[in-house]
Amino acid sequence: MSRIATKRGFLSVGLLLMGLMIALGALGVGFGLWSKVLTIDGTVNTGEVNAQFSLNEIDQGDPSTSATEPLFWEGDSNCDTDALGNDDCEIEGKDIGDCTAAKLPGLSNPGSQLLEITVTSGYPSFNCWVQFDVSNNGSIPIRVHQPVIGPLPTGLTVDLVSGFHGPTGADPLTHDSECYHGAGVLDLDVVSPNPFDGTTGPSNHPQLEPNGTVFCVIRIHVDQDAPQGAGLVGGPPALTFQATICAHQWNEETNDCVTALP
Amino acid sequence: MNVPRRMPPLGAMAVMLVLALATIGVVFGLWSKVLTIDGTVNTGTVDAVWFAAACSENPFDVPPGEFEGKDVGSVTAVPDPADQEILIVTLENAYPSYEVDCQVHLANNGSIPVKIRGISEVDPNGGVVTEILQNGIASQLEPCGFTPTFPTSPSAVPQDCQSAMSLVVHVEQEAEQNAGRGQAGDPPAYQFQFKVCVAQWNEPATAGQCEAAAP
Repeated sequence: MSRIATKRGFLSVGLLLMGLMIALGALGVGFGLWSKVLTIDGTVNTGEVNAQFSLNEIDQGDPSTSATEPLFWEGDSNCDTDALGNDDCEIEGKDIGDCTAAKLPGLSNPGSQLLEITVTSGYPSFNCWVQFDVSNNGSIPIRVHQPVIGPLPTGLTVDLVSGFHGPTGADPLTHDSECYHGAGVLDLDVVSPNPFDGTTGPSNHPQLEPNGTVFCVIRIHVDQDAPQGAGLVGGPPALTFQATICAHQWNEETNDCVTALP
Repeated sequence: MNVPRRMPPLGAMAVMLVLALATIGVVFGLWSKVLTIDGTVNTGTVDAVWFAAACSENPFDVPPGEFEGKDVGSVTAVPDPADQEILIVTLENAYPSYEVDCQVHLANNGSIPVKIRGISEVDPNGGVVTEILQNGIASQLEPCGFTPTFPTSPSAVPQDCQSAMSLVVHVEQEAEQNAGRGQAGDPPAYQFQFKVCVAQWNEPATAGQCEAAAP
């Protein structure tokens, strides 16, 4: 056997031994390490932002002349004496036009998220006031944006009515239309100044705790230039409008509230 | 004709003689003594438990706490009743921007010093971000000599046998509503898991080796 061959043999044996040592080392880690695992199991259950309509009262008649209740039905005077909340007091005691409102169920959320108001046989100077609540039926506080009234057709005026609305002696906390804050109305916002807009007066974003309610009044007025027969067969199209109210979790503000809705 | 008998070689006879004498010696003449070593090895234990957890809500906000001081979300951190090695953290009625920071404490209740060799995480799928902050990786925990029950104040446990870490859970804007409520159509709860592995102090190990070796 040559000297070179002998040297190669020693090299092979050396490599073999080294590999054996590494393998034994690995076995030592695998079998000789004592360890312990502590575990943290976490679960996050989320809450819900939701709001719904409730319908209180529908009044028809002339607006009040009272300085404290501008543009509103005259103080829930129950002029039609029918003992119901709704007042139908068109001029001279007639019953010509009609105004109805209905809650429609939400598409994907519990409660009603659509209020449908319909005026039939409307005529110039006909007024309808729909009083409704927006309530928080979710589990997280919300802020309610001002209702946004969309484009209006010729012949129709739709606005929100501020101020106190209710019989004498009624609780102002439940009869103030805080959904629309004009000058002098109560501010039910719990935090002042408003953390989002910095205002210290009436807030554009009333805040509602779960089960809390904000009261709103919307007025529909048929103008002098309204077309006749609108919505009737053969007549011009009905006069339609849409108002949107957006509510969002109280701790976040978004400038695109509507598109963030589910 | 008589054939003369051949004698065995002299060397072979000598060997046989020695063997015969030795045999006789064992049987009759050997004086001996047996010394015995009986050995027993009692091993120690590598062990650890959770013994305290304190959670705060939105601690990094100014002022800290839930927005406007409300109490909307909630968080609990308690050990599994059947196993103090599992800490169960639960957030209820969580919402976007809700965040909790739980200071969790573990103690070495074994008999051998240990080091934290790694923390592994199973993350929730979007909507919730979790993070565990710990400065004491590989710091050594001496044996406490007792098992602190949950909850025990960290001040009542020797500092050199305990370690603390901060578990932060943040609910993201894209979190879904009603997760985990359990009604038809509701998304499942967001779930996460952290595994903290400790191993004997004198053996280097990666987090993976540590977990693989754990019982």
